[in-house]
Amino acid sequence: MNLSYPPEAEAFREELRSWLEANLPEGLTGFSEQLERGSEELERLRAWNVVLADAGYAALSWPEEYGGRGASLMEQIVFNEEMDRVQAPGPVNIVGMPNIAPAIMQWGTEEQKVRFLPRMLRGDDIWCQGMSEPNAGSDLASLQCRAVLDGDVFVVNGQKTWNTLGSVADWCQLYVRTDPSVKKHKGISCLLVDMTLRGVEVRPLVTITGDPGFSELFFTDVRVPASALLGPLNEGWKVATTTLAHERAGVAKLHLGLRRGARELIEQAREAGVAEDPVLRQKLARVYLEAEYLKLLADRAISGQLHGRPLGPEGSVAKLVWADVQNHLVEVASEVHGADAWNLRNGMRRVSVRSLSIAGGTTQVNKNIVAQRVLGMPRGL
Amino acid sequence: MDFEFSSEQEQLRESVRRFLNDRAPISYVRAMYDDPTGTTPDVWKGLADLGALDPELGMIDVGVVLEEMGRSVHPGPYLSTLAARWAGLDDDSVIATLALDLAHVPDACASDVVVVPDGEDLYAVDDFDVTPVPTPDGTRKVGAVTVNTRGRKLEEGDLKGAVDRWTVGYVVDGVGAASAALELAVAYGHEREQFDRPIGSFQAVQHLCADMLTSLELGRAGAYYGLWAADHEDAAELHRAATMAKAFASDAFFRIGADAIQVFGGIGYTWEHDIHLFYKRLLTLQHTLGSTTDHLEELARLVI
Repeated sequence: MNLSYPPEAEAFREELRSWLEANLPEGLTGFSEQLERGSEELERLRAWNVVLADAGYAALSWPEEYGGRGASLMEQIVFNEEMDRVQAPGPVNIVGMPNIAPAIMQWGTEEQKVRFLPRMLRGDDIWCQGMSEPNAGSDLASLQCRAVLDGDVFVVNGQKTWNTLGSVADWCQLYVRTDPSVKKHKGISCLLVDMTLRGVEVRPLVTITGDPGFSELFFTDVRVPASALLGPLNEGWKVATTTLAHERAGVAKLHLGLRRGARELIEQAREAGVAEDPVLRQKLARVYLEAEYLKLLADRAISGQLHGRPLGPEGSVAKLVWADVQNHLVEVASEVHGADAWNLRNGMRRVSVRSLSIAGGTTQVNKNIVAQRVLGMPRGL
Repeated sequence: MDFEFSSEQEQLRESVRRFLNDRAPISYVRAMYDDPTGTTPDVWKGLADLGALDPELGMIDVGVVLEEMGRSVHPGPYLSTLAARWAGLDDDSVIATLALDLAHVPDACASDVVVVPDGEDLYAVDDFDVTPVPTPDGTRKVGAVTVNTRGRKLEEGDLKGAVDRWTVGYVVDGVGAASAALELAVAYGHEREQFDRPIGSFQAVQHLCADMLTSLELGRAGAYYGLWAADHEDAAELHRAATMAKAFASDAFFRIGADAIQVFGGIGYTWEHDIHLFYKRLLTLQHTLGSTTDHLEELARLVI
């Protein structure tokens, strides 16, 4: 057991810290969910993305052949910690970099890799992902968006929903049904679709916060060249699971925002003069503890990966815990904030956290996964 | 970032597990259920022969032994003896304990020496009377101590550090007991059939078990961090780690024990089945060395 960070990782932290001090533009913090095409915010984020890319900080985990840094896991962790510490936004492609790129690297043709990866890395192209549909949520494999091969084009018809960055995306990694005659997992393919093609329509999806945080995509007789196929025809489910495996590897940074949030809340409680309240103190201490423990859980998961084990129970469990603790945090915050708790900004956090136990796999589906794949319990119906 | 135990520690774990399975299995725990000492000379000597009582063992080494003792709900005075040593007892040859409250002293009936605080000082008391204090948990022993002669003052006493290590030790024992309880519940989920299918295939049961695993893995990470802090961090960080470990495990591990009984249903409520031993062990954890409220208040004092 050795829980200190290796010296190389600490050296990298120093290097990165001074680089960020010198290069992070004033006032560039956060990353709003409602980016608009051509907006000043988007252009600033893109410019910053290029600065990150030129310095070799846009894609730490990517292999060097694709323009990444090929960084060690510990360097990636340090990178996430330091970026979080100064609240620096990462690359614009928050969906593409972690979720789509690994699939292109594993399944893409040379032409696809060369064409897409460097531009994704620099933020020249923005990517969204077309997975969920109105009738295919937790049961993703039941998706119905159709693609029919007609000569050398796929003709795509159907609807996708919950598309992050859909409003500004140039490209979409789209999952479509190419063979309706076989069992549902078997007849799916993955297409890399140009969002400017005729018949692609993007509409804002307004969430319970009242903001259009996501998009819906409508495809009407969209003619997509056959060369857009990623991976073999009808093997799209394998491509999707490549992506999902990488998404789960990202759990090691879930605790960053939470621990910062817990510390900030304690500070706010002090300022509001409620830090001595005996009941509230218990709740604050509890939230602090839960956030600290999520980090320790993640550290154990990282340790396991460094020892060559696949992401174990700690990884599957982290998402569940994270959603719960985020909820606890905003619930306690409501008590700390007193009369300001139900103003639009503070109060809306109580509304927006509802997404956390739904997006990226509901808590219930995650519990099924933990029970069946981690604990090896018998499959149900 | 290395959270793994070393190969020597894993060997120690393996030999302790084998020893407890052979010499102190559940039948032994049951036979000792009403015995106020919880140990027998052959088992105590066997543990010593394995090196589990070597004074040069670090806290991480000891943690491996404690987790195995929790897994087999071992009733002996191992952790109490270490607590006395951590407090400053310089005699490694005796069974001992540490008395924070003379009316409830863990393993007092098995002990040759009781370390007793008096103001800032600690005394090694060997002239004392002891009466067993029965609790619902026969896998843990408690006694009420009357000191007859104050005894010898310990030169280098460290009560605070000892209590923090003791706390971490109890929680690591709880990790073992809770792991075993979850494993038993999951195994029963495969075995027991109702409505023509294994009960482990029902989502209601699966989600209960997923929740148990979630608590266990969080608590395990925190407990192991406590072990690390005892060996490698300063006293303040050990105190924070121990406080968090107990604040978390008191309720979370109790719940694992409770849910394990729930998975077993009726059979889990029988004396005959072993699962209640694990539940009671985890209840003792909840009732020892301060409540959840105490530890959360202490944590609040540290971080707010």
